[in-house]
Amino acid sequence: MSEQGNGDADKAAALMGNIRARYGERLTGEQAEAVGEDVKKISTATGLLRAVALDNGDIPFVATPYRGD
Amino acid sequence: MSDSPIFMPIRELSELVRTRRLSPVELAEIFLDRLERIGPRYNAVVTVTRERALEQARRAEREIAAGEYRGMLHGIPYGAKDLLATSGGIPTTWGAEPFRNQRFDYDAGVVRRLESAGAVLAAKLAMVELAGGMGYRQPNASFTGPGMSPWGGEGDGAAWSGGSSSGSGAAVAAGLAPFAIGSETWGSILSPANNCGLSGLRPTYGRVSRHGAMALSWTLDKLGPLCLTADDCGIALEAMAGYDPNDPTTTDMPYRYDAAEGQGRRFRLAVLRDVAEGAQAEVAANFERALAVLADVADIEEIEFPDMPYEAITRTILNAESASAFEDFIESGGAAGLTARESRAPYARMAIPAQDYIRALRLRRKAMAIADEVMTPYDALIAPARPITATPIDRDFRSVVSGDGRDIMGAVGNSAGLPAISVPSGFSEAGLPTGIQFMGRAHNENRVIAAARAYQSLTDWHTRHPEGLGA
Repeated sequence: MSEQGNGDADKAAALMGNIRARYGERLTGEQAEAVGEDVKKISTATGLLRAVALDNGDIPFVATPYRGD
Repeated sequence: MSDSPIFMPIRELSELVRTRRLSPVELAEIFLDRLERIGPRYNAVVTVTRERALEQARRAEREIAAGEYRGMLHGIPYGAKDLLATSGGIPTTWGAEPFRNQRFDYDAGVVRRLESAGAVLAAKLAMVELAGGMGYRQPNASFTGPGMSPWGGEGDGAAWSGGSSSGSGAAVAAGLAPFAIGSETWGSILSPANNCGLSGLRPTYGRVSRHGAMALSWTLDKLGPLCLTADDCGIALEAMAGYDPNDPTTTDMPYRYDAAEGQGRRFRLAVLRDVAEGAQAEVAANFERALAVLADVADIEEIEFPDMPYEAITRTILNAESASAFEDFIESGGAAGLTARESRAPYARMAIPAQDYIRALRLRRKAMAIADEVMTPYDALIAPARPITATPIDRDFRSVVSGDGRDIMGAVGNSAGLPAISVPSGFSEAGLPTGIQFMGRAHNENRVIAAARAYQSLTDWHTRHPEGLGA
């Protein structure tokens, strides 16, 4: 988990850098801190997504409810 | 049965209207008066649509007198969450200060369908700003103030009505309208149903047109009714549902409410292992009692969902799609004008890479197939509607909406677009309602309604109403 965790942390830092570059001037210190926490949650979530193997043929959801019969 | 139309289910009200023992105009006047007089107490109402309501009620009265009865919603007043477009100069505010003067020159698809059914639009109801899409964490997140549950007290005892369909829940629970329309992306119908002691139905994705509804997440948003009974939810859904060429995600599978579904047979229900773990003790206790009641009419099995990051899938999709839906608003700095301090800087979601969003959509498809397979043998999965009762209006809530809590049922149900209904299951010691949810396979609304109706036939929680709000 630590390797994955480090990957998430690196990704969170990169995303936060992107956000600071685009919106940094708008953020107060408190807001920047809150956005940083949100970015960590997003990175943790996407880390969980990447931990699941997918095949090339696993197509994305298309907007139709699935029913197997 | 009381003669008062206040807190009377649609089924009973409609019979009085159909047989001309109750005038639609009289009925509209009663609820318009209550919306204007009592609505502000709960921050439940944005706009009372008096002129339009009386015009529709007069038309209903004329038609019924002429023998042109349209069905069970003919002449019945309702309220619409204020994210549904309405014509005629009526504002559609999305609950947000920056949009408080917004107006549309057309009616949302569901509003048009209800008009065709003869229903009477009495009010636009309060909601969490932008349906909570910018990441609110406490009830005071609307320009109309925090929505309050009629079951809570006043002052320090005031309790949140839930969100984001806050006014839709409060209005029906306070007897300001016989039913209301809410929307759910993740929890926004079930939460107010729970907090306000109501029956709230989240239909299958695509059942109800979202044309003219504020988009938060195109692949997650659903519209559904909040009512006094499960039976009423079926009645309202039948009028709301149907294909709409203006919303290409609507299904062409017709929906007909079947009030006889489930009669004369036992239900087969499932409960996820440890689903009430971590819930407030009173919520868990009421859920256990509900299971015991349901054992009279159902076989109940304990099951598990295969391991998948269900919440991460739904959360990532919601964040990415809401960032896109409100890209211009966020980029222009519009979020700074929102009421909730925590919603004024929704920038984290603007940086989600496309590959992560698409990965979530690929996993979603697998999760949907898993959920369908797991649920196939059952009429419904059951769980507490929410792990907690209504929280005080001045306090942060530990919310799945903010991603802090566990909500497998909500994550799977919303990601897979599955129908679910929440009905009251009792009260806490503080007198706040708890709820139980029944979630079914896609397009199985009639089965989840039937199971909830069976539960309501064995309990009287749905017949209780807050003190002092009767006729």
